[in-house]
Amino acid sequence: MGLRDSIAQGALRRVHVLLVETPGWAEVRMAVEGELRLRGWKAATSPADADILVVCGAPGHELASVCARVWSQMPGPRSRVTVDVTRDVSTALDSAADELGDDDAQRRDARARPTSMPQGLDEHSSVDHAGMDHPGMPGMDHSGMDHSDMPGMDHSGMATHDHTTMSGPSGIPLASGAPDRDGLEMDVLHVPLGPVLPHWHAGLVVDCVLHGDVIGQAEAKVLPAAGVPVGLPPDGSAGGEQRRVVVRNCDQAARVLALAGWPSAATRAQRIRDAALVGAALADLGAQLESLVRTVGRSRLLRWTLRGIPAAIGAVGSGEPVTVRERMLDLLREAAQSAGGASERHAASDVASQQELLRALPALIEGTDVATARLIIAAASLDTASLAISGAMRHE
Amino acid sequence: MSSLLNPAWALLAAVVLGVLALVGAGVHGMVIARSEGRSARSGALSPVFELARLLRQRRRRTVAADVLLWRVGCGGLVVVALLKTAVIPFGSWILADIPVGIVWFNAMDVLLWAVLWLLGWGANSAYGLIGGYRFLSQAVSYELPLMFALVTPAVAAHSLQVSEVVAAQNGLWFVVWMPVAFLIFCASVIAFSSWSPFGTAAGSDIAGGILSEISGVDRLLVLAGRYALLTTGAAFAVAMFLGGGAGPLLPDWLWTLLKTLLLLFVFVALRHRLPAIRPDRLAEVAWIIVLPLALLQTLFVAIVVVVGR
Amino acid sequence: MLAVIVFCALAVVAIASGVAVFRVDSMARATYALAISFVAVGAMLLMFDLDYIGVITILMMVMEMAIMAIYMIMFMGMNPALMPMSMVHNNRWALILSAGTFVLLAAGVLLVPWPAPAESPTGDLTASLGETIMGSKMLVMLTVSPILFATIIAALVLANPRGRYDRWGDDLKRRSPHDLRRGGLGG
Repeated sequence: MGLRDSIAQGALRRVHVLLVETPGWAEVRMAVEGELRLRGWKAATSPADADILVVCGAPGHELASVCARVWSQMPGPRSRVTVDVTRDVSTALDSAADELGDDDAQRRDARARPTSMPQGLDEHSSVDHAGMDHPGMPGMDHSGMDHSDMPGMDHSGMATHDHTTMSGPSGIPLASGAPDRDGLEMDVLHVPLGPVLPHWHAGLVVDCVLHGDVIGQAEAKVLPAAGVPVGLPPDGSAGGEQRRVVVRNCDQAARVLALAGWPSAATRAQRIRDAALVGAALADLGAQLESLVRTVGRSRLLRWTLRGIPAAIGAVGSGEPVTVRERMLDLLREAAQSAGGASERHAASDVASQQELLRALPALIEGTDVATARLIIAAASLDTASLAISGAMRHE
Repeated sequence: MSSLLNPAWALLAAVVLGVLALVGAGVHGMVIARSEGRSARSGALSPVFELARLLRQRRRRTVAADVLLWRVGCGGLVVVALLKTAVIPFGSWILADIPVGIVWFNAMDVLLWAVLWLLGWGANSAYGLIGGYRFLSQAVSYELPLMFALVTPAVAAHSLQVSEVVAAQNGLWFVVWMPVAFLIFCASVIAFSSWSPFGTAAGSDIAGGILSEISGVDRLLVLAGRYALLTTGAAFAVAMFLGGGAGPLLPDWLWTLLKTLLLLFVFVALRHRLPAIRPDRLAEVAWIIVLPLALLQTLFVAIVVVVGR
Repeated sequence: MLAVIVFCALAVVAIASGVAVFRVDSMARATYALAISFVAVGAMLLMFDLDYIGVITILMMVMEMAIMAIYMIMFMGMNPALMPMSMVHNNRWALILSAGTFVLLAAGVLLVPWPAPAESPTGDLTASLGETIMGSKMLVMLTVSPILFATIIAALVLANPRGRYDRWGDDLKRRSPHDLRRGGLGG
């Protein structure tokens, strides 16, 4: 027993946590990320990589069934926890880790799981499964779909849209063909990007038709939350607006940097963000941001690797096209200025312009490969929280 | 140089490779811990914890996976790394000093084309497959420069035998007069280990790509295999370009060890510091700039060798 | 004795995986079965002390199969179990052709009057093998290979719908090429 225990002890020093953020609960997600860094834990990249599933906030119906799907894909030992407010993060992670280390509970969990069916499904198709589990659910744009011929809907590994006449083994429909961007007839695959992906906007789902890794067609939507988060800091607190700009911009820049595959710069941006969240002096953060802007701006490799990738600016692309790299540097510069005390009042992003941005997104990523599309989406200042809330209200 | 082709020595070589890979992983853990604001010491053991975690984790299966090919992909990396150690000299010992050791090393890293693609393919997951494609398109870019980088020391030593190449560096290390080949070789080692900045096949933008669906002992094998490949690459670079075990005072096996570790640390440190190099951007540069550079380097060495005769 | 057993085992592997190419039902498996067959042949060459040719065979064939798998799947179907598909087509003619080829080659092996070895080769086996096979035809070989290479390049150029005038402008004076998809070079 000694060996088993010491292995479990070791494993609990390096827990991988899969985060699912409900639109509107960004602060909780950031708090969890900060806590992971403090503990030397790691954010998981996929369900297969995860020990603990942390759901931030109250997901709506669809997002909840995605969570259930992701949960079923986790290999185990596993535990899950829902965090609603920032102050609960540490205790929630502790209790999840305790459950993870409890061998008896894990054994019971393993026994209770269905063994006949392979557990792992493409996480990426989970949204469509959610739709299939609840046919006719409001808010899902599946009106043109017909899944009636798919045996055991749960088994479908690939999301499909219009080819329903043939299906292969395990109920997986056949790939169909379509001309790709060069006009060659290529197989296509329907893959939803999101809503559970690293460095991804909360609740966003982009349904893609892929030729290899090139996106042929895309459609974007946001899965709503079940409610509105409580306990947002009051607007008038000391440096409240500036602080919020620093947090928001650093978070977004960290995402772009992480997707550009530059972990040290992404971590720096995240640390500045987390310092701003817990109330560090803005002047210090300003200096750190200036230094980060210099490092990032100087990197020729980054300039080269991101060259010519256009950014979606707001809803309207006015003036010169801006690249993702410039956009990310602008975010960091703006954060630095805010930290330095400049408080230009930004027009609060209204729901209408956000909806327009969401509608504009597919056109920007069609014809690009997945890596480029991820960068474009990450650099778009999409506030999924406002969209999700308005969406939730519309459906009620 | 003495050939030691028997099981006991082969086992010892595997153990040494494992320890070196673990040290490399430990250093990586320290770098990460530093950048995340913890003490470097706290990160040194993270590979051990990770090992424990993956031993405790269950394996997964996905719907309609090609399990046979998938498992071949999972185990393949470690096997390839072990097969590579056969021709890598450790001081004055070498497991199998075959006459075409350099070609053997090259053939083994071509096996990675198959292994890493199968890893992505087998899971029947879109992200895994994209990862596999990314690796292959990167491989098409690095493989030819890598071959010419390996040809260069062979031309200088008049031999494809690794021990001869080491012996030919008696006096002047090859890195001094073939720096381009050395740099290309190092970059290729990072690339065939699928290690950042050439690590987009396992990028977080595609949920871990080739790693996205594997867990437990399968994942352990793949991660360990990547570290082992990086280590064998560093050790081979030492034999090819850095004079093997040559050095003052210390015994030659210790010099081999020190040089290998140093190079390994450089590889590990680079991972964190550079943004990813995307395969679609790499292709043009590799074929239009790097490959001619490699050829020029080979030409230069060939001329020196012919004139010097 | 051991060598004979190993050699026969490799031969069996080579043939069995060759058969598997037509018996399995997925592109990936067929491709890699073929790769295994070639690797076994490469290993057999190693047993003839033809180190270089053996290792190079393994290297080239694995590389080729990796690329071939991509092309086959790109055109034929993307996910592994997507529909088991037969690897044989046009069975009757295929059988006739393959049986004919086999008979021809086997007859060649048995009927050609092979020269008796004058003396056992000394020095580098690879070099003496090359000398024996191609010695008198070296000039032909040297001419054929650049022509083959030029043919491949020419075919690519012809197949490419966009030429250099599309990329660099009518007077070829554009500073950076106009590409549909950006590569790593150009401003």
